[in-house]
Amino acid sequence: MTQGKKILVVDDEPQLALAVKIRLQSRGYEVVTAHDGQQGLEVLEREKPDLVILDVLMPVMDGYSCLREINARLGRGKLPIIMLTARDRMKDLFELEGIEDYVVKPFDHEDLLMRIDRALKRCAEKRAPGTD
Amino acid sequence: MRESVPRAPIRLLLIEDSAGDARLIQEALKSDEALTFQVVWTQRLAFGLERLAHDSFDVILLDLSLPDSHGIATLLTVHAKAASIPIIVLTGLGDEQFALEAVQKGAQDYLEKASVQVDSRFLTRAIRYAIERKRAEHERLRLASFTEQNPHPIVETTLGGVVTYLNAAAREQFPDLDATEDHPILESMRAAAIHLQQTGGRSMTQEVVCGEQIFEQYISHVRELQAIQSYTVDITERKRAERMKDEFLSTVSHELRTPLAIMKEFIAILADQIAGPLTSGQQEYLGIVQSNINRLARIVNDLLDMAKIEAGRVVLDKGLVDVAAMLDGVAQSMRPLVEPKQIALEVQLPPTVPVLFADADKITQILLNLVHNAIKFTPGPGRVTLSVAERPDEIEFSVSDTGVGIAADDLPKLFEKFQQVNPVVSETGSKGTGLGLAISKRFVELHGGRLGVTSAPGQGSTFSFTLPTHHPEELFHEYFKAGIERAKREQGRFSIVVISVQDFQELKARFSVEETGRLLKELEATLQETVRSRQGGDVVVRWRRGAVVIVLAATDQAGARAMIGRITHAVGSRPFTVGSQAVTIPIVVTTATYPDEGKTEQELLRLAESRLAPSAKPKSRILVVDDEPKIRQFIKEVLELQDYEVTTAASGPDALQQLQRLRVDLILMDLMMPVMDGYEVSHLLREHPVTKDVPVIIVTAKGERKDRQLGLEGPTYNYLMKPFQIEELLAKVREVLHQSVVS
Repeated sequence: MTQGKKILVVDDEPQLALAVKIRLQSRGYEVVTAHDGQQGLEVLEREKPDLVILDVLMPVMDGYSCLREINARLGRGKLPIIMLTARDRMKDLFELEGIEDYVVKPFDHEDLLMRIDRALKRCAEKRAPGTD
Repeated sequence: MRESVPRAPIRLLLIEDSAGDARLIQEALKSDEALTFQVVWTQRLAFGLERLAHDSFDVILLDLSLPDSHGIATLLTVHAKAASIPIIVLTGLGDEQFALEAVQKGAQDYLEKASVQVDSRFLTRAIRYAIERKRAEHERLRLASFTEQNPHPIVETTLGGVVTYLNAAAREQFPDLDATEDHPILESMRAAAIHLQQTGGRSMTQEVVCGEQIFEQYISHVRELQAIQSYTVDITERKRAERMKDEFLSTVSHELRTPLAIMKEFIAILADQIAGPLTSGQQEYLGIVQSNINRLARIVNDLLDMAKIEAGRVVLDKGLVDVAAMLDGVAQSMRPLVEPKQIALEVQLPPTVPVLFADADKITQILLNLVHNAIKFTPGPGRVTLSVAERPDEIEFSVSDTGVGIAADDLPKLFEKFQQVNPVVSETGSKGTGLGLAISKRFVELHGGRLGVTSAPGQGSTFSFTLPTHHPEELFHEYFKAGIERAKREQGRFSIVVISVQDFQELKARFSVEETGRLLKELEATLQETVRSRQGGDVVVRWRRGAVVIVLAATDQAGARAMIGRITHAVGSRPFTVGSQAVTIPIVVTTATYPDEGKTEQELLRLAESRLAPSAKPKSRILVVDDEPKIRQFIKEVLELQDYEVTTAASGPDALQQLQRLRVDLILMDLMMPVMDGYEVSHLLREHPVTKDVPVIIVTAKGERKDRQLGLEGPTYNYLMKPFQIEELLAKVREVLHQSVVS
């Protein structure tokens, strides 16, 4: 199921993004990374990922603006998005619509993998109604 | 006056060249019954000055014509040497002019020697007054110089805001104060003056921004002087330092945590052998690195927590806590530590666990700390037990171990900062910061609980803490309060969603009590699921008034509306069953949001409930007539919250115009309005057949009523005296509306 699924990881800490990439690759995902919201949108256009992991606090364009832009471009809820946030910024997420899930930093990678898996499954169900 | 003159002998320096006059004076002094004098007499100025240099005196009697000095120069010389001692100049007959000059130049008083001869009391009275006056003058000068020289700006104004005094610092720091009507310092004094006069308070403190500077302003209302005094301290630097410390803390937190997180991730990748297989030695060493990174992370977190606690910046983020799940989570995360040591980690729960309203993160942190300590000080094989017990009004968490225990002497030190007690048997290198227990204690206390320990060497230890629990009704209020407080703090929103089973009566009629109860339970479970699966939602269920479930969420109106959508969908798509019969439960959902719509829990609730099913009887319509827009709006809002329909008019003519096409049940009218006052309007209303029976509440100020109420009495007219409490207004409105329904 994970085979061939492409995930975009947007995080301003390149090494943290790399760690997530290695982790996800070890489970059979294809992973592309970007280091700010602006770059994230570019990679999104080019790579057409199946899921986006989006950090909230980033330079140039933060996670919120990036989320809004993705929603505007692709339509809300069309692409599953998992937000990454610091604990004390969680309240900001309450305002957000059109995200699939969120993970609080520092996160447990098993938890992240579980959420990715779940999000992709839900998305597949949505696309193929009746398989419920 | 007499009372305040010293009882001790008055030390008096008499400079008088005439031996006869000197004797006369000394005699006069002796004759006073109340006072005793210690007199030093010299005949020459030079001697007098010498005595002044060595002794202290309370008063000087000075003849101006001396062998070595003459005239006003004598006074000036003495005054220069002894400015703080009162001087009485002794004069001969006809020296009046001379004497007046002396007083202007610094003498306290003058006395004709001849008058002493007439009555000795002239002399002693003059001395007493001179000492007294000098003292008062001293006091005044001292206070004046404190005020004038104070490095902080001091400003005094009249109650009306006219500046009456500025000290040197104020003149320097606010050079334009006098000329600028709307100077922030004066503006805030004016506002404070109004506030203090209204509340009867004497003083208050506020912060004032003045260009680039921030001042703390202490303002007092000095009734005796009919004055407002302001004392300002420049706190710009302090504010900047506070901000810098906050920034520093958050920077440090971020800067230390990020590299730690990166290290942790990559070591985990290595340890999980994603990058390739490891020898058992390599695995072991990586394990050591991992445990030290975790230790470092804990230290960083502890230091930041302690810094926050000390700065008083810890804010509890309370919510409903699933105690069982929390304990499970704690036990789960500690498994890797207990297994290699052969320690059994047990969780003991009572059959029912009370609902806890607390900051889940902080409680988890406390539990992790206690369990971690227990494991650390328990040699394997052993046992660590995590248990919960319910007591009246509180819940007690305990962490017991079969470890080394703590000596009685060490027990009190345990909760102090940076204390490391009993590190004997702990595994090597596992010392922490010694902050964990101190932090835990503070977190428990912030919740209104207590943390304690019982232990003995070799007997293991039990750390227990209590947290207050709440009755369902209390919990509900707590939840509201916390939600509104959090929203205030974060300048966010707080919404409640109220769900009501439509036609609850019918549901109850169709099914038995048990069946209805089961259905409601199912409905509740569905709501819990729906709301909990999304962050930011929390469910506090309270069944009231024919099954209304209240769901609370930290979200704005848009979020609340989205929530309604989800709830409606979830409940609509779920098959509820009674026996084998499928049942649909029709529900009505509505929301209210802080602060846009209501500022208190009552307001929010009332508003949300009033928006549920349309009320059985039509709403009463009230016309509010007031020329003051703020009052008009305020009354409108208050009445709307009570579910009245409210229309407003800004003047009498406006009201009359509106009443031509609008039927109202009640008119609430201010008496004092320009153009046409409340009485005129009322008279006109009475002449019109449509409006003549509409009840009117006339809002009057004190003293306005008696002279003009003639002709406006009877059941249709009611009066409400300003200023009124909201409750009075509402009671009056209810009373009048009720009366008109009855009649």
